[in-house]
Amino acid sequence: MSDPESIETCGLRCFGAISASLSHELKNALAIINEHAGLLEDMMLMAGTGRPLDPDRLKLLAGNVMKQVQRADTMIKHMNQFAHSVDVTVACSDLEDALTLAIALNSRTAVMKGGVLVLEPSATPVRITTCPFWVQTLIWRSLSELLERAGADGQLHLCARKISDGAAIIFSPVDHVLTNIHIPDVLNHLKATQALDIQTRELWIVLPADINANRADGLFRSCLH
Amino acid sequence: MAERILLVDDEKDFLDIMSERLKYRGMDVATAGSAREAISKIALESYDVIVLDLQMQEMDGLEALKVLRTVKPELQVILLTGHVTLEKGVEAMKLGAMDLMEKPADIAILEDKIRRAHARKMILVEKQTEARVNEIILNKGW
Repeated sequence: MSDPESIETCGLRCFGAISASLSHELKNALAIINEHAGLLEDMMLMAGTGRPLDPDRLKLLAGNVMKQVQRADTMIKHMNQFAHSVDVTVACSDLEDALTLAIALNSRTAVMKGGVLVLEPSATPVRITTCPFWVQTLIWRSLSELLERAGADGQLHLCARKISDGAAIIFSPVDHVLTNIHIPDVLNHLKATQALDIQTRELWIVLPADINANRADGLFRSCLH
Repeated sequence: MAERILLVDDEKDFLDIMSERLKYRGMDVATAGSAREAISKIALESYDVIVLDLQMQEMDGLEALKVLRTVKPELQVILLTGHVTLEKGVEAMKLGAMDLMEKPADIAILEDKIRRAHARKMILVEKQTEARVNEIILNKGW
């Protein structure tokens, strides 16, 4: 039976899931900052009753607050970068940068599932012309499935590789192709294909060098625009 | 008597500061960095109230709540989480959580909830003891 969910809904689900995960983590950072402010207030109250303030302790607390602010700032930068991925239908970008962003966006979900995402640096820059938002949706969908079946140590490696007619996103170790009901639609949308190398336990998602190529009208139209 | 609290959260910085703040309020606080650690701790030690994060690695708060309430039904559990959804809230209450609070929490409200949870646990323990004594009296024919 076919799933009634359209590709637009699939994209929105990705947007919602990632936004929810990041906002939850932001709340955690805010909660820690809030408790530090509360503790400083407690210490001030006790200082009023004659208990002296310890400068080293105050320095440590200030450092902790700064650490949490940096953490939240990094999250907001990633959230902003992701939000802007829908600004353009097609863009020329570095695939490794897209993987770096995807790891940042999905690492909390991975950890919640007992997994760890590891970026394997690529030897050469991997620039392709594709749909930035749909690449993120594809990675999100793929990770949702692959993390369920990650290896014993939970590590899942991601790598961008330049190939003759485009680029590939390689997930490893993986022993199966992606079977999620929405994967064919997302792959089709990106003119991508998947292939499994059983020997190396690598799942290759092959993307064209330029998504605009080989189209009858020479133009790519995203369903989000 | 000081309330014995077990704070459970996978954010170490949060655990450290929150436990210090509750200790300043006269509570006896222990911490656990995961639901599994909390389950191990309650098997060995006695606590009055568990303050449990809802979203944690490996085992989430609701799963942990089920286990904790099975092992120690008299335990009072307050869930503390980043985001509270209506479904999660209802599920938590059905599973026996005493209350649910959103982070960042107001320490005065949390303190009040902990004290009320402690009082509730004391009443439960008292009732259980009374029931056991009555059972013994009945069985012995006294």
